[in-house]
Amino acid sequence: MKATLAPPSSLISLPRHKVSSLRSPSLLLQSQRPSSALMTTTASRGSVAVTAAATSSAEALREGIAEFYNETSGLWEEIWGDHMHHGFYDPDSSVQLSDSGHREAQIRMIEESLRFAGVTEEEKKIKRVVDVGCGIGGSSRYIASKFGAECIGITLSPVQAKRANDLAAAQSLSHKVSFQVADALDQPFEDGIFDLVWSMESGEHMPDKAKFVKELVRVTAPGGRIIIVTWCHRNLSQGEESLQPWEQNLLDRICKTFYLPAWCSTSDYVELLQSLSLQDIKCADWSENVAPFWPAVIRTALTWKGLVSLLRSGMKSIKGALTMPLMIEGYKKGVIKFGIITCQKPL
Amino acid sequence: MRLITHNMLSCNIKGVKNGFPLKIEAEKVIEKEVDFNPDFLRHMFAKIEWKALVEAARSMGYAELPEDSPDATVIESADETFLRKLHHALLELHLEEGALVCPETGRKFPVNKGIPNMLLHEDEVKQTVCIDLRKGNEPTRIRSPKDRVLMQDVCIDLSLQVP
Repeated sequence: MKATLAPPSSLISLPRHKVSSLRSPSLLLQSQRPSSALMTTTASRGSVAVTAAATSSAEALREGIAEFYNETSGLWEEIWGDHMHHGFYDPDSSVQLSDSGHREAQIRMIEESLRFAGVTEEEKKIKRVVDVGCGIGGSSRYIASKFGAECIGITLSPVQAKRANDLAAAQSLSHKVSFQVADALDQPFEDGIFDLVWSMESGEHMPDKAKFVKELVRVTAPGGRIIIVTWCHRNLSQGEESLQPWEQNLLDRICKTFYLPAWCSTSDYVELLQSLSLQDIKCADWSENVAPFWPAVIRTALTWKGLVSLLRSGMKSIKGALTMPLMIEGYKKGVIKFGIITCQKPL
Repeated sequence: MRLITHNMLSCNIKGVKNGFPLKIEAEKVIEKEVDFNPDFLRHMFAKIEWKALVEAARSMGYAELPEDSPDATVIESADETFLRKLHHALLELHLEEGALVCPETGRKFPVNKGIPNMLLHEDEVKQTVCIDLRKGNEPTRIRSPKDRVLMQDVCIDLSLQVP
């Protein structure tokens, strides 16, 4: 991979943030702030246990995500098909791809992720797969077909679950894949039942990264693999406690329309997995391999068909479309990274 | 929802120790024909929780499965009688409307148009975050990325003035 993108043009050293002035994107989603009456605090010297305040914001986020995808999934599928994730491209590919080129790139993303995780030689061992944040099931159907395995997908959006099941039936895959409405942070499965745990661009929606990773690990079978492909912010340097304000501001604006809580870095995921004793932990920055994606999405939005569909689809879709240039800016300025993190659960 | 899916679902309300298998309250069951694929069934057989499947099939009106899980010879044999029964129970029976019931708490997870909704309510979820706050509104030094990530989300919602 060639040299990384240029660092931000202004690096200001800032005083330590006070609690009250930190901006959290999850706050922006709430229609009203939780009143102090809702908060349960256990006072012990210097420590506070937070229960209700955290749960009501997590609930609001969950509903926001469900509504967002209920509204926008149909539009996405109409223009981009059934894979709701970035394509994987050769770096510096300047050739403008056709629609089918981009769809191939989306398939390639699945294959490259499997290969990175070291999964490809183990076809026979993979019997059960979970697709966490499955969208309309593109990955699930692809992986179930590839490995002859059973795949179960979970999403917060009932519209997506229905569409995913319908597509499975249309492709005669109903016996292998099924989709339900469930929360990735509280997965409705027993421990250790999945040989492959797949999270393709859903991690960015999880408000509690530690809990998210814990659940992924919990449902993985001994010897099973976890693949997380997600939007992250850049790794923080030694001594850096948080992103620069301008970086945080950029992310906040994206979070608002895409229903994302706070971002974390690829290193954060690695550390979480290390703390849970996973082995063979690998990560990579694939930002250069996804660079053509957002410009391509914007181009399709600006076609006649795209514009008409957007207008029909609703405000959430329109706002989402208007936010896309911010994603490009984020990548260009090195704030946003497209990360892959994989590991294996010990036997 | 087919029984191949039911065989994997469990209730994970906080504190529940025996959330599997979920009982089935069937209001509407339909049968959809699926191509018979013996290799797939043989591949999956080892992972199936047999008792749960037999019980679930019975709730859906199908009582042809043997009480005890057959041994490998039956699965591998050329005689596909058993495999056809397994195929029917696992893949062709659909719960369209009804509920999945937690065996420990009795909580019902609705199934509508064939899709179970397994989302937990606020009070069913483990949700406690402890944060150490020093005096004077200064957040404590964050020791690990876990702390930072949790703090970003939760700390702000409090707008706490620590005495």
